[in-house]
Amino acid sequence: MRRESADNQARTAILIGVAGLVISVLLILAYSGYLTGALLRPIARVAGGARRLAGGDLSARIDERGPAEMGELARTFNVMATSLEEHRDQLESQNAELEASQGELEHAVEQLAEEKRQVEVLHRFGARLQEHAELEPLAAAALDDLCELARCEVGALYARGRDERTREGATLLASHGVRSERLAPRLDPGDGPAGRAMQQRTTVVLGYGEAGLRVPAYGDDVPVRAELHVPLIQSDRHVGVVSLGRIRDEPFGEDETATIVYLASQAAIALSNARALQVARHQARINRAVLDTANEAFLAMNDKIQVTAWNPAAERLFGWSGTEAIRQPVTELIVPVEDRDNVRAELELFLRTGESRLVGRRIEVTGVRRDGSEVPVEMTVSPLNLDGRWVFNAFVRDITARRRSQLHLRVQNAVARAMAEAATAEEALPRMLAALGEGLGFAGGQYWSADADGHRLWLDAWWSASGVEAGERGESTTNDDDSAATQAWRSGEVLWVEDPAVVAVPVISGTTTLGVLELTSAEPRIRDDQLVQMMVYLSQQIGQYLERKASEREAEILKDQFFALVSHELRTPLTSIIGYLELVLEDDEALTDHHRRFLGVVDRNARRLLRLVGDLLFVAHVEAGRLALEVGEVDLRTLTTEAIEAARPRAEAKDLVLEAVTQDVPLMAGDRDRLAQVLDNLISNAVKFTPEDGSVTVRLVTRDDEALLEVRDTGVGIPEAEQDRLFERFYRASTATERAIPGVGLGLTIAKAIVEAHGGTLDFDSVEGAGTTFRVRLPLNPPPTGAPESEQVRGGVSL
Amino acid sequence: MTAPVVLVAEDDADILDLVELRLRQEGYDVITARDGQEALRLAGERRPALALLDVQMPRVNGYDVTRRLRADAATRGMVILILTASVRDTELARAFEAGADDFLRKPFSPSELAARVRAALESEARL
Repeated sequence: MRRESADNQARTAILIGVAGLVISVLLILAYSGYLTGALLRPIARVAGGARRLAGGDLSARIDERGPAEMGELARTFNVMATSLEEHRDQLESQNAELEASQGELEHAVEQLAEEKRQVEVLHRFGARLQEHAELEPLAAAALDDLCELARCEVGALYARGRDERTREGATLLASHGVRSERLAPRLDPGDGPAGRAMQQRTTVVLGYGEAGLRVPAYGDDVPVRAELHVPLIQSDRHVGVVSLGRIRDEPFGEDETATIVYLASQAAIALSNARALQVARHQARINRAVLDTANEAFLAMNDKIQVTAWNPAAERLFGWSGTEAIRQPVTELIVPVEDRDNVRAELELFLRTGESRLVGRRIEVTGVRRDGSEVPVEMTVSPLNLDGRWVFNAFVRDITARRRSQLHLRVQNAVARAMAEAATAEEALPRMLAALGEGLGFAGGQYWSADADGHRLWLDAWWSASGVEAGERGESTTNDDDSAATQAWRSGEVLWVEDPAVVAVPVISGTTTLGVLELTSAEPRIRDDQLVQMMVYLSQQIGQYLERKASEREAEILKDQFFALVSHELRTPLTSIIGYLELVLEDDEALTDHHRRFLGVVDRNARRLLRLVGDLLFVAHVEAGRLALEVGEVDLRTLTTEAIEAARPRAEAKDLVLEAVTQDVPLMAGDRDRLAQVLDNLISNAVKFTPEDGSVTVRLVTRDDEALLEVRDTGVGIPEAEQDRLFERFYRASTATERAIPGVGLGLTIAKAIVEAHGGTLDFDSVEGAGTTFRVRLPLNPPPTGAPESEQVRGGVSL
Repeated sequence: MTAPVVLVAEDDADILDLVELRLRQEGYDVITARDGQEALRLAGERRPALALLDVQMPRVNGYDVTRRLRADAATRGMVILILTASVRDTELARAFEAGADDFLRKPFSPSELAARVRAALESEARL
């Protein structure tokens, strides 16, 4: 349009110019009619030039020769023609420029329109991506859009697992234009062009002939002719790969590919976010499921101590439902009134200082339920700072059962201790009752034992918290009473009366009900099955204990009878042997030396037998705890000298050097005969176990507050492996038995018992083949041991 | 002066003979019993100055014989020695509780027995 008008204007200007020139020429011609002769030709030349000009030949020039005026005219004409020509060239060049800028403008407009279209595509793509938060719908939408925008008939999108850094493969998330069953469900790095794109993080473009996929299209399977595989990468994290394919024969152009890559990067961001969201949701779901099914109560609270989470176990534990508990101050819900201020103060302290004894460690506290009842709980309050605000998570465990089993265990231990420490059942029973009553919170306890013919229960032992007698030994039930003890005894079952509380537990050993253990309280007490269970268990233990004690007592009686019998039956014939021997030996004249010597052998052996009987009885007494000392003043030095002298004949018979190094030792309190027995035993042992030409050295010194007696020999010694057992009764060292050295293995047992009864010690060092040293340490002012002293005192009173 | 009568009660015949023999050597008029019942009868009949009683005897044991002798006014004053094969202190205590003056453990030396009998009779005579 503009161009047209410019043409017209130029044309008009030229026509006006030309018209003017024509008019001028006509005027000149009129004037030339007047001017004939010399003027005619030059004018004719000008006129010819003007015609040419008028004909459009702007290059027309005329000869400027002629008369001055004519020459001037010709020059003017030429100038005018030149100017005219220049003017036209200028116009034409302007026109060309105009035409050129018009093309650029049109191109720019086209470009703008293209960019606008792309922006719209991107925008629409971005908007579509935002429509989906879930991973799979998002993948499907992204793929559909990509296919549409890239004008592809088929496409597939694979995404990698949660951790993009691993080299694991990707799984098929979406397909377009092809059924997903036709595609591999998994894609491993390096696997095909898509796998290659994923592994190498580069876009892979395949042209016609290279693509292998055949897809059902237009009613038949057709090959994909061009493929584009773009890795999905989001800020260095590898999300997956998107593959696009064209069935029609149109390769992917460079610009087009760049756009698709750009769109794919948008899709990668969205997919990555969707997956992060999915992971977070999963985690949250898992957490919730865990907390919901947890046996342990879980609750969370904010920095205002308001409950923000409350799982079903918390509902069960405290009785408040989640909806009731949420947003309530935790102190009002589960903290006993008296502790609330303290809990608030501690949490405030934590918020201020980051430290509190309630936070960050396991604590045992008392909680309160909705119904006001208290429950012992163990809890750990874990603080967590979320974006500058503290939240407190707490796991709370009901430890009622644990407390109870701890209590029951303590009670069982106390009962076991009573059994272990008491010497007799009579002593143990009240202690067991006390352990049970005190431990379990009863006011009194009785043990009723069944009599042999099974008619009655007799009160054997009792305990009461107040110390007031809960019964009298020797009291018995009657045949027809219906006391709890009698009922439990007859039924063999635990009887629990709730108000006032009476718990009667039959004590059974094997199939026999030995008696009934009864705990009582003035307060009511609801039946506690766990306690019943424990009592049944304990009553079995007690039953076994009582049975064991009874059989021990029986065994003790049998042993006593046995020893009495042994004592009597051995001592009676020995009485005759030794007595008659004495009578015979007294009759000097009737005997020859031979007879005297033979009878001496009989006498010696009779006395040896007597000593053995004495030793056996002594050991029996020691074991029964009945070693009684007859305490008097003892001079150890004299005793030692006597023992040495008694052993000297035997030592000399073996050519032993028997040496004594003794000091004066202060008088000590002790049983003279028993201590003499110890010395005799040690010294005669040393002589017995030392081969000929050896030596036995006895040393007696005072050291601090004790007397130290050493008996050293150069004898056969005691093998190291046997040293621990040397003091066992009837134990004999192999060095003794191999050499057939006589003895029964009681001497050292007895010696040790006597020394210990005096508050002293007996030990030894020995090297096999080199000798043995026995060492006796006796406190010089030993408090006389309990039994003899008390007997003396008692005797003193009765006399 | 007639020899003092000494009653020896012992169920073991050998020991009974031994004691009888030794005490006769000492010049006593020895009467013997093989069980507690016989001892009680003889004690009632002969009123011995001293009775040497074994603990373990058939029918009536030494302690019961002692108790019954002490309970009877006629025999209350006699010296009673108990012979026992037991070494247990409780046995000795029972002997004294029953009313014995002294005891002697088996086995004993016949000479020691004779000395103890003599000493008991002499101290009894002094009282």
